[in-house]
Amino acid sequence: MTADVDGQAILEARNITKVFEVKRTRVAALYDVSLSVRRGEFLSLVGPSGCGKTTLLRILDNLTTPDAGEVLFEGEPLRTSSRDMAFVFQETALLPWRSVCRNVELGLEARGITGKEARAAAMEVLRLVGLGSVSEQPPYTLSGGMQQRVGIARALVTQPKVLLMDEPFSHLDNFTREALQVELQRLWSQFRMTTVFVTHDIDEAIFLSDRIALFRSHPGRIVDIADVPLERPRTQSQVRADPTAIKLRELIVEELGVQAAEDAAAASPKA
Amino acid sequence: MSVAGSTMVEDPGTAAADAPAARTSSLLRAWDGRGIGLVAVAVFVGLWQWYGDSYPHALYLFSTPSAVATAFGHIVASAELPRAFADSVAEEVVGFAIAAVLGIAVGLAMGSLRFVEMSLDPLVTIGIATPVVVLLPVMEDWFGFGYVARVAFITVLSVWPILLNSWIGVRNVSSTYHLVSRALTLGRRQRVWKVVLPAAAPYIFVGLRLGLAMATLGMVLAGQEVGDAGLGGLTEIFGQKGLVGALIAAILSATGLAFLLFWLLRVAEERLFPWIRETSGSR
Amino acid sequence: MADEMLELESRGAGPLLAEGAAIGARSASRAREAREAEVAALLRSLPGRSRTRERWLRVLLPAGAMALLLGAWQLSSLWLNPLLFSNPWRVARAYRYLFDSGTLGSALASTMSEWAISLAIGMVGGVLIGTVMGRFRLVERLLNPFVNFLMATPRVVLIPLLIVWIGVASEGRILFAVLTNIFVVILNTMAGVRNVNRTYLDVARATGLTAWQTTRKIRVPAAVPYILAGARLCASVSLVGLIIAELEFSNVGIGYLLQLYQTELATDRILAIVVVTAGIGLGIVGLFKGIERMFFSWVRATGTMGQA
Repeated sequence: MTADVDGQAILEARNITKVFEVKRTRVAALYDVSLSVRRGEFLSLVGPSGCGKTTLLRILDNLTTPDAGEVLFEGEPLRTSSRDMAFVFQETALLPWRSVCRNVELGLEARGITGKEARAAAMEVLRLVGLGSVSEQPPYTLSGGMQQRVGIARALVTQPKVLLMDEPFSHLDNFTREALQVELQRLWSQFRMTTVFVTHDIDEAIFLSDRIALFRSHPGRIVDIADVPLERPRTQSQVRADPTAIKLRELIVEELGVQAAEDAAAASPKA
Repeated sequence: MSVAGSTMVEDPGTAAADAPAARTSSLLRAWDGRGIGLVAVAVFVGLWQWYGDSYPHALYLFSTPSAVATAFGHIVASAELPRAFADSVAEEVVGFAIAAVLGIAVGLAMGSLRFVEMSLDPLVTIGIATPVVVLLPVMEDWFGFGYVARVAFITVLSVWPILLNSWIGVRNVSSTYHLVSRALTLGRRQRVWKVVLPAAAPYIFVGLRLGLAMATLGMVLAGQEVGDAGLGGLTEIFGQKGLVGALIAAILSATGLAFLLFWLLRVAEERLFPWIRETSGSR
Repeated sequence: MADEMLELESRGAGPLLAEGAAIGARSASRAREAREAEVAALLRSLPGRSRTRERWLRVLLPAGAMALLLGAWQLSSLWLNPLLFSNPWRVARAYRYLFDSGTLGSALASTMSEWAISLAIGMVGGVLIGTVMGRFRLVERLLNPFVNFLMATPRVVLIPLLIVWIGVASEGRILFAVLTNIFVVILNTMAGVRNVNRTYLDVARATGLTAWQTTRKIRVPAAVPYILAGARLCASVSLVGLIIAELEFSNVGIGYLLQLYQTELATDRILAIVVVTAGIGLGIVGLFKGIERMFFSWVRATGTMGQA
């Protein structure tokens, strides 16, 4: 079934424009982009690298400020990074001078929760992602996949209303990536928190999402949003074999491919 | 590439005869010189002793290991050395501590706030390029001929490497760490204390090491020039009196003090930030 | 559910595979051109990201800070004894005496010539020793204890010993400066000789170069960035060492002047010389940066410095 969304927008981006200046050239990373995220859904932002998906994600949690437009969280304009939103980074970025458990506790410390209470909460989440046994180890002893799981634990421990994930699995090898996708689906089914997920991997998006927003660059914008009408729980093989999934994949590839072709056509001299 | 095989299989008879000689020469080739340093030092000390014993006039210039040892015993017994040592440590630690706090604080401010960085950049450049020892006479003039002048000099001398490296360290804190702090909604104080400073710690400790070397230099120099204080003062006194044995003993004590303080700094670093060594490869 | 489907506002591409895609495509490309024109206009219209403003600040802020400090210092003469603590005005006036009497000139001549000599000796000796130590592990192990000991010792502490041996002559000062600067050169040269990229050595072998040719054509140039870094440090450190020696046991040179004026409590003259010395220090740094840029620009470009 598609997600039990109640149709309300918990997070909304309106007419977002963001311009970057790189070595004297200006690039419109995002131009007049709008997006509504429904409560309880899993929404993916898909597109090739460098087309503004990460920028939009960061703007959604006020990690970057837009040059135009605004973000509304639960109806209110967002002025600073929200306590009710959590972010998982591509590079994980665990603090190397803290143990795994202490890393997870960091988010709680920001809210003034320390000591035994923080530790208990952190341990609980770590056990949830299967890392209870390595809680005292320093992060560098963990593999990439395990580190990213700690990153997810760090995000979940604060019980956020919205989870934002920026290509969290792109640095990992295929096997780990697929394992973590399954894990993420399991966690999401358990908590049903609204999730916005950035990826360039179409299969990953189809596996995990209720909706997929397709991005394109020059300038960065959303060109379409597709529904993913697959029943949950989903399996990897289903994504590869199910006719609906295959059709969806073809459409997406074609859409993004068409855009790429248009890009190329626009770049070449006019006939 | 010459191929093994033709000479590998040998007639057991000839092999046995050659074995001992072959073993020694291959051992020699395999020995990479480990331990030769100690041998060299032993040889040096031996030659030194022999020279002093054979040519008495040289005694007044170079002394001998045994004379140095005797002198060492004397200045320890007379409490001259322990007192000078303690005075030196006290001065250096105070001066270094002030320099560390100042250097890290200003470096932190420069690395975090563009406005501070832009204002102080040229000043720091000048400070680093200048031979700060030229300020010793200034310290003497301003603070008199005693303890305050010496500590002030040590501070002024050692603050620059600490400041520079702290600044660089804070500036180089990965922007991802800043984003993580923001996403986790850490307050400014928490962010600086829990994320920025630990992340900059490796650089800060490099700065502290360099600063400590400068502090030791300043301690000895000030001890020699501003009154006769501490180990520096001892070297002045013994030098003027021509007591070369005691002088060399004082020099060795200064080396010892330097080692001691560096070791303490290393211990502090490993206690506070054990992860620096392990992760410095994976940066 | 289409009504409840929230609209996205984007321009350009329409729904997936709508009918009349050809028509759609044509209008799509027209829309795209329109959009691109809009974006281009937007990019042009944004205010210049205060690039010039930053450049102004970079000059004004430190100038302002300087002015503030100097001003405060000048004002301090109202409370503090100007003879002792001096002020910018008095320091400026001190230059007149220093230049006119030739005192500063001759002191500089003495110090800088000794500096040059100690620099030369330190570089030559340091590179030689460092190369041998870097190339031959045995030699390194042999000399290690002595090098480490001397490096760990604050060399100032050796000055009374030098005075006993050599007296208060120029040679003593130069020797002290060399003792101070040579280890920096040794260490950097060792690192340079040791850290030659393995691949370059393989290239040498494959091309058939002899050991001596390899050393000359590959090892030495590869070590140059390190030696250069060592040279810059050597130059700065030599100046420090020389001034220390002059402070302690000299009757010529900058250090001597400083000591002299200290006994006379002529703070303004002392500070005038301090400023000059700061200028020399900066000059040395600038000189080496210039040398690097002119002859060794390939160092930065190929990143040879960071090789391990």
